[in-house]
Amino acid sequence: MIELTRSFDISAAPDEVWEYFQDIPAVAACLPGARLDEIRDDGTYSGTVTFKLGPMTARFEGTASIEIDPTDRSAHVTGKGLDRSGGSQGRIVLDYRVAPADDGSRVEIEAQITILGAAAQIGRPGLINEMATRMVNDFVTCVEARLAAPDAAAASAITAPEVKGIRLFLASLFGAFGGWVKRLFGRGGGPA
Amino acid sequence: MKVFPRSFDYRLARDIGEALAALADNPDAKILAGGMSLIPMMKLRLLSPPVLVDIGRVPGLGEIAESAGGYEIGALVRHRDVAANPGLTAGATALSEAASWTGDVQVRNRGTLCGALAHADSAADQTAAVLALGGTLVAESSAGRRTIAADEFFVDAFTSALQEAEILVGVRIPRAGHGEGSSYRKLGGRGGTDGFAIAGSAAWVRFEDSTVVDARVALTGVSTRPLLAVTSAAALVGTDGSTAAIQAAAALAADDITLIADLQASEDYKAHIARVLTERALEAAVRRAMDTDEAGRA
Repeated sequence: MIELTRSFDISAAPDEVWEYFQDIPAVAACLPGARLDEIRDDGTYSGTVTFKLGPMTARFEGTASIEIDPTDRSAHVTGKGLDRSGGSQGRIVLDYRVAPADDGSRVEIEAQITILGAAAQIGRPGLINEMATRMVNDFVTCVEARLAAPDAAAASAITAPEVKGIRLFLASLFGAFGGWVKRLFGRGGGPA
Repeated sequence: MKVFPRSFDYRLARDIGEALAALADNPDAKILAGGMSLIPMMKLRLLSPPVLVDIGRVPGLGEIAESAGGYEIGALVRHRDVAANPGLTAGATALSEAASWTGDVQVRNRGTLCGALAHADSAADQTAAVLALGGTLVAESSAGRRTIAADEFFVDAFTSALQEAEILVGVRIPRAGHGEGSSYRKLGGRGGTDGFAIAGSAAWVRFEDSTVVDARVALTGVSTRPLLAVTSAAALVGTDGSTAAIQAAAALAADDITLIADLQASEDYKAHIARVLTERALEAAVRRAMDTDEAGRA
């Protein structure tokens, strides 16, 4: 079981951030790799969250339920999912709270993540920690952009980037550019 | 939990061109050399490539070639061959030591150096050695060959700088000259040297007369990828490489690096192990450096 504690600042008022967090489709849109499929009659949510680590992909399909406490701007989330192709299971219990801060809001999160099955072999807690950090960073960027957007249409066009590490993105950009430059200047070029 | 792979197609490439064509036809295909990382992942269904492209019979990839510039190690050279090669043992000690402690006997007999480098496990051994030795990776695609410096190659956990439809065909290691030495020290999974590295430190130093003029320290197992401990290495440059200088430099091994904890070790423990292993690797590297003659031989 992996315990994560995170806090991050969002430059918007606590009530605004709290309201945003109640809009589950909007939250899912900013969570990298997440897709909301259905809001069920009993108030639970079903969807998938996809994680990538190098060449490996784990797609957890499952459900989540949320209990909110508006007086405190806090919520308790439980979720579980199954990766059918690998047979791995993931479970999460997450508590968050939106508190006032100097420049807007501070969101505090405590989560316990359990991974069972094949993914547990490779999903070393350190790597999961790192992936969680990247997801949180992308989430915050997306939420701030949405809250700062001029209107609802502009806001809904903003989504989280595709699930990849920042470095991977930069490296592939650099690699592709470097390859183009080399071809331009006549280096490389192999068998037809 | 199933422990056998999903169905896949298998293609035996007779030359690199065939292998590249197979990759181009199947973007999700994976290259099979020793299979010591790939097959276990497939059995656990962490990875289910629809096609495996076997390069095990491609001629010309199984050599360790020695030249004035250094060593070129082909894609099919096994860990045990890297460990046993006299040239590498003397002139690229960090690499042969890392190879001798990789995995276990079966992994060393079948697994390849280039496979391990392309796999880029965050706790691999040879990745740190290649980084500390200033190696260069040689990649081939249908557009030809390109070289990638080690410090640009290890991008992220299980992520190298290899593009799609590109094969790592070899790695070049500079030859150790007079006054150069390297070493690798590792804390393995069960407290010895087997298996993945809880932490590993590869060190390389170069002396001119009695002064360290250049040094590199590379850590593995402490982050998502092998990292150069720049502050630590810089602290050794300009010193006489004495025990005191090494201790002072090793104390900085965890500085300016973001460490990542895992099941085996907290961040504090990782930092401590990094410092201890760096001290031992630097000591051994300095001893080697003082023993090498003009031809880089001990």
